[in-house]
Amino acid sequence: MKNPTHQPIVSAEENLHRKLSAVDKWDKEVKAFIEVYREDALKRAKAVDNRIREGKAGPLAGLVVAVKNNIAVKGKRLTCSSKMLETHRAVYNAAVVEKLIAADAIIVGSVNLDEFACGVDGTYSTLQRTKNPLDLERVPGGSSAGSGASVAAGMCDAALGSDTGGSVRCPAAFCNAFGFKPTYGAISRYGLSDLAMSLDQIGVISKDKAVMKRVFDAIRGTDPRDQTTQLADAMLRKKPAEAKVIGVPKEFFEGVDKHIAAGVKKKVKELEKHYEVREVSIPTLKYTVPIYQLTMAAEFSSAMNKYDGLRYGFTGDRNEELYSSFSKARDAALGKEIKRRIMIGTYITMKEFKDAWYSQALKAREVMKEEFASVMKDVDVLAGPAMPTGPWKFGEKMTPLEMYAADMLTIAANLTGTPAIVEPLSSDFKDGAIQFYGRHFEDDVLFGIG
Amino acid sequence: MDIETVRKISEVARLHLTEDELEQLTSEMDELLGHFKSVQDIKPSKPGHAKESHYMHDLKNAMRDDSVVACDPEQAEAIRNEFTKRDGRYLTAPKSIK
Repeated sequence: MKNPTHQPIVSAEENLHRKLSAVDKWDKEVKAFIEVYREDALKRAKAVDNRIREGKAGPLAGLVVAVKNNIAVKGKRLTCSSKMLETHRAVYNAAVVEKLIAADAIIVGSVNLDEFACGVDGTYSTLQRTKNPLDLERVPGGSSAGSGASVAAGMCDAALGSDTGGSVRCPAAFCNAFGFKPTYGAISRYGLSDLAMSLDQIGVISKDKAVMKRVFDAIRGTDPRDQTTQLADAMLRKKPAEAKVIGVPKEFFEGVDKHIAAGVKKKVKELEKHYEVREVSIPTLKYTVPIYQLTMAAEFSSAMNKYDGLRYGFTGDRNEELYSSFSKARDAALGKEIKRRIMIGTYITMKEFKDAWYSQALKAREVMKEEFASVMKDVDVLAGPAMPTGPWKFGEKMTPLEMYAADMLTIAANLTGTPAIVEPLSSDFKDGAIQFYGRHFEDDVLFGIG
Repeated sequence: MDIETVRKISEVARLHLTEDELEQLTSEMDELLGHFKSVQDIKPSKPGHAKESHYMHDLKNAMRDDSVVACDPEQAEAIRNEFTKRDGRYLTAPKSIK
């Protein structure tokens, strides 16, 4: 499938029709959408057009946005692409959905993900297999697989995803789009199904960087329902920073495909015309995968305790004793990768093993944060490849460890809470993408670089 | 990692796993934890002052006054629908103590 062209928005209704035509044409094959809100979206588009005519339209008037299906849209299915929640419907709107609606965006539907956002290529969805629209034999990247694919296939102007270890940036890179994970605490996560509370952040994917920024501006800010956002509004009032010095950590290039590493280095060379570029070293980057996997698994196993076959979706045998019913429901309705992460997380937080594993991971994370802070005193942003490889073909066998290692360049932004953006290197998705990390709450700097 | 340890973890994790699943997880967890063990090599920058990183930013406890707000009838209905048995005005949950 060829890259769709993104024409300017003439009217909300016309733009929506274009996007729905792309859905009708491609989504039988691509399978990005879990649910298309066709009727609701058409009604909304008409109303938005009226507001445009009255001169009262919001900042996202007429933009068509898809939402990852772990973000609540009231009255719609909220499956997290798991059998556990296959029939579950959201009873309220997530904060980001409220803000999209208030800004006059048109929400076109919910899109697929790896089950509970646990995966790096999109193949861990238990509901459907999303394909990469740029090469249908290849994975779209994960976990926000449908977000990347729907953007790449021209089925929306932008898509929301969630990013716990790179889940927005990986599909953006694999689908040749821009992807942005803001500073931890910049966007409210009220209404996002949590994976790991100290790492999760909602992000945006788009083929257009300016659109991505508009969506981010519309959904950012403090929300009393998510206390991690309490600094967001104050930070917005800060004088915008400007990037002058780019640091290139040598560790970012270890284990990266030669072709992608060469492309990123060439891009960095071009940036030397406008910025001072320095090689830097962050030694703990070698340990990102273990630090991340242990921290994430501990938080994930705790977050998953609410899925007990009693309160949400999949129902266990209610005539059985509670814990037996609970355990059997979880075994029947949760996928392999979910169980693996719950088991590791449970083990490393058990009283007798916690000091050697979970506490140690948190101490290592602190060391990593200190190293980042120290390096970023002297450089404004960091640059490196987004993903170590391009998207692989379906069926290429990966061990769990190989799958976890694919995240190695993105997860440090989650461990340190820094913002990060990925940008395609060329019009060919096989050339890979470059990634920039910024300082806390200097998200805007990342939109001006590259 | 041995299968009996994995069985114990599965009980704590409330996962009713089959023997095949237990066997596979034993070998996978053994391999993964063997790799993750490298975190134990990272030493704190100030010896003896290892800090655990729980929070990203210095946030303050945010307290608010309790206030009575209306319950969303749709949310209440959604919760009610998850329970199939009733006892008068109470919803009945499965027995938790044998």
